[in-house]
Amino acid sequence: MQEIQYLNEHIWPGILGNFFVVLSFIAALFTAITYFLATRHEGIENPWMKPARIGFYAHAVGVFGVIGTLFYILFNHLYEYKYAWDHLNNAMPMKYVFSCMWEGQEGSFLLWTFWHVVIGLFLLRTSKSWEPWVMSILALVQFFLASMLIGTYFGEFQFGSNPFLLLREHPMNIGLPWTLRADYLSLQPFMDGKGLNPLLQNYWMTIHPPTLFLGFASTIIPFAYAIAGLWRRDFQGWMKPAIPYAFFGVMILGTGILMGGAWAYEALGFGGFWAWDPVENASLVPWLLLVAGAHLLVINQRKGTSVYASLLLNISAFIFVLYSTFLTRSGVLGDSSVHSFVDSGILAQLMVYLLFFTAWSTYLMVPNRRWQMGYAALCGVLFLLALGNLMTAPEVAAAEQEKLLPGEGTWVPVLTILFLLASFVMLIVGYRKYFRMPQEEEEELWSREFWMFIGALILILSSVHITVVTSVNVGNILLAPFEGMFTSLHQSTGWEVFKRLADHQFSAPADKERFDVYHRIQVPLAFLLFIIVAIGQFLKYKKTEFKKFASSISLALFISIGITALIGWAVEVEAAELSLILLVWSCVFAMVSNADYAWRVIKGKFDLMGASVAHLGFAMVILGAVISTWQSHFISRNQRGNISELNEDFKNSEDMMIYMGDTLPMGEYFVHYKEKTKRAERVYCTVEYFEKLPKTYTEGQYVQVFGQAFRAKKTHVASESFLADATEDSLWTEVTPAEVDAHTAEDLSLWTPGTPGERLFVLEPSVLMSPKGNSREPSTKHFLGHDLYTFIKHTDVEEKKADEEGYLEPKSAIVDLQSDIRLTEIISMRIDSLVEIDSLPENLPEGLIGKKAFAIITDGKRVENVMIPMIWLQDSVPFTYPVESKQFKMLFALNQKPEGLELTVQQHSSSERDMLILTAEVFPQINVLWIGCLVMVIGTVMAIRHRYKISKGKA
Amino acid sequence: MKKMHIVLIVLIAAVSAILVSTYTKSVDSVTFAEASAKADKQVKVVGTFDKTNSVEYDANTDADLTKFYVIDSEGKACYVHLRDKQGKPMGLEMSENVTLEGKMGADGVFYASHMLMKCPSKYNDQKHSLSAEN
Repeated sequence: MQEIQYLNEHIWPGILGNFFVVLSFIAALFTAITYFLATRHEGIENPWMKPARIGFYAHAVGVFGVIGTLFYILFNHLYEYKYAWDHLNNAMPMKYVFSCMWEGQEGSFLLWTFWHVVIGLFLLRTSKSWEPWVMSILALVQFFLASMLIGTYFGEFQFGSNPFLLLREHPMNIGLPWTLRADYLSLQPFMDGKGLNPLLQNYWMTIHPPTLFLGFASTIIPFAYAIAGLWRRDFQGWMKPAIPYAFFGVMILGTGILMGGAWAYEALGFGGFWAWDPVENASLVPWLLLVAGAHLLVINQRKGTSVYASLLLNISAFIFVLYSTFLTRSGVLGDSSVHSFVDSGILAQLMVYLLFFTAWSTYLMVPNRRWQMGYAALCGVLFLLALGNLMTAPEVAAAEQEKLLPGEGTWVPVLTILFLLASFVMLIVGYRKYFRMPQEEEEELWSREFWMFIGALILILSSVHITVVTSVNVGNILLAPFEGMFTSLHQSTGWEVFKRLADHQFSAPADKERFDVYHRIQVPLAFLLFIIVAIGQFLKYKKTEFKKFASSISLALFISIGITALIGWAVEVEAAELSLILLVWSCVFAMVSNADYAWRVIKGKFDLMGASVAHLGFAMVILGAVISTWQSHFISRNQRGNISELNEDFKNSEDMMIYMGDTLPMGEYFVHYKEKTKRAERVYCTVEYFEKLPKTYTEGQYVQVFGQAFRAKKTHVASESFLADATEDSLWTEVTPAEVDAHTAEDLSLWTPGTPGERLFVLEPSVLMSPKGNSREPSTKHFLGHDLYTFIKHTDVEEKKADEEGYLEPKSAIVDLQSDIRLTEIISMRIDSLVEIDSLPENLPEGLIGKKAFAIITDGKRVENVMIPMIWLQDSVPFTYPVESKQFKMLFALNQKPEGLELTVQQHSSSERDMLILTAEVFPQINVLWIGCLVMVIGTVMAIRHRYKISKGKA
Repeated sequence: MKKMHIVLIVLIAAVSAILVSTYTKSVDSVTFAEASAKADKQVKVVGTFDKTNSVEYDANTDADLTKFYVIDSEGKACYVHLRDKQGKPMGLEMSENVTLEGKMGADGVFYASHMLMKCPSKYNDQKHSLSAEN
């Protein structure tokens, strides 16, 4: 077969890109090996250092080259490349090209790799005597990450996923007819890409992923140092240089996580910034572990203790970054997360990496040859068994496969459990034999190190809880081998719990319950943690005299109780909210105490204040989070329909319907729905907010509320609620129907709690239309003390299809005679009678039956009578003759259906008013959170600076 | 090491509490038939949006309520009433996989309090759009 010469294809970026991919892969392997050889060399001149460094530079060139080439493809809209076609389209502003880059799996791995390279280039210069060890570990990780981009197949097994794949070369497309056309790029589907997920077309999505991935990447530094320490059997020497990096990781990862929260808040419309989504959790757990690990390093520097725990935590922070990646990228979570990636067939590859690094770390945690050999052999055997089993496993039928969890029906779950057990045993052996402290060194109860250690344990518990809940799906896989055991246990005991375990269909709640699942454990833990954060600094290392400590902490204690009492009084705290007010107190306690410590003890010495400032910021973040979530409330109110219909099942009272051009009261404002405009891919609803001025009703004035008429008994200024005015103060009396009839609709104006004053601001919540689906984007007004957060619940975003005469698509419903039919919010119709037509025109065929309906249409002011005919042949479909209402610009047709009379209405596009259903929510004191974030970053930078000076021996 | 022993005991108790609380609070992932058997119990059902039936949504009366049909893994279609504070889920008609969380009512309607949608995977979508071309 002759090779096709494809037209207009740009092949060279792909070739170049693939060259860089291979370069980065091979160079990483080369670097790892040469650095490894360098670690084995003893003596002054190390001949391996030079080639190793050159290798790493080559790797860096490879990674930068891959990224540059990919950007070239994206910038130039080269849709012949699958990556561009998948993540880009012509309409999208180029400012989101970065978001396109990391929307895909390959791009986000690249981002991660990129930061590792940057860190590597830095460590190359700064790690000094640790360089060969630290760098060989980093290069090994890079080797694994680079392999994720190789994109070749070994038989069925996919090895990485290549970002430079041509669309026509993708396995799903090979052999399709269009791939054989030389001019396929001129076909319509390839002129434009599929665009970026609308949720990612956001400012935060440009800066959140790089920050978060830098945070993830920075966990590799303490990890590499810890592993290097184990490797060299220098269990404490690694800590001093690692401390600044550990805190750097804490700062960046923390910022990245909070930026993710900001994104969720600004763009997602979760109605909050933290949703305990599995992907959010997956970034939180490494952070918690790193925070614990970094603080243990500090203890060690003072006391020389906590060696084992420091090693374990600093290693597990990185392992959990890998685990998070596995959890969110492999498709294991599948249907439980909003933003987990679709299964892209790299589950096995990710799992092998995760297991490798877990096994390697565990292996090193027992510094004894025999134990290490035994463990390595066991891991090898387990791995070979798993591989052999997967190779020889019988093919499962497709239907069966859908019901099976990943790995179910193979030996993988059992082997994984065995591996985890063996690793657990190793870790215990390592601790008991090689790291346990001598008996006599019991820590004092009132010492800083003891409570810091307890704080670390609380952080570990918090991560364990989050991990367990997030990993319920993984837990199901691990429960699979015990199905038989639990079934028989269920049969013998009859306990429901065994049935559930046997079914292993557990799933963490995703609705409101989710918050309860997390908060019932996390709130008490946070409460304890902040008490420790509060008292920690006032305790001295080794031993503190309790009396002295008590007197110094009492100031902060009393002030915080006072502040909390004020907050509790302000928000009218209820008994059921006790846990929340306690948490608020512990945050305030931590804030006051740390400020007090910086003021009174450190006396504002800049170098030493870092920790206090960072702790203060952290407490502010949580305080802001707790108060804004707890005290958030809707100011939009449902005013349509009959309020009495709102009951237990129907509490939809948190949205407001407003027609274009209308002005309605909402909370402390009047809102005016001004217009709907389409700009680029977004449909904006412009809503103006006006000041609300008091309104006076004079005696004898009539108003309408909930479809009923009322008369003012005396002159008064309206309060917020009509119900309060009418019932509590009995300012209104209901009017008899006779009295209503005497008045026109204008007299009976709607009751409002005030009158609109000056225009204050405009909010434009929007709907983003994209080929990948629409999404709503909130619009928020930020005040110093609170945020007003508005969100479109419903509005028509599609252009209404009108026919040549401007009539919209018909709507049909079965109607009753002599009852009011609502056509629009103001226009109603009533069919009075349906009578036989006596004489049909003579030119019509025989056997026709005819009926005509007499109907009245009214909007309360105008009235129009229409006659709608309906003609049909016996036992046949009727002919419909649409009749036009001149006044109301509508078309009507009737149709006799078995279930009753069917009315079809076509509204004219000019008579339809646009409607918006809006929700508006107030988040009080959310700025405390953002300011806290800033304070925390500043404090951490101060602390890092100080630690860095110490590690350089300058302080 | 007496103090550390106390800490250890508290730690083990806390971990057990975490495990018990997670598993007692977690919901079971079931089919509609199994959901009927566990009526009034919060469950999760994974299925696909039924494209043969239309979506009912009337923002005028209740902007939170969306009614539609979902077919579960056994091929059984069930009428679903979804109550979502964000209004009608966008892209429902385009979605393929949906995960519903809620309770099966005595009337055979599944009352969902939460729904997660997975829009068509890139590959399937691509197949559709490209085969349409030929």
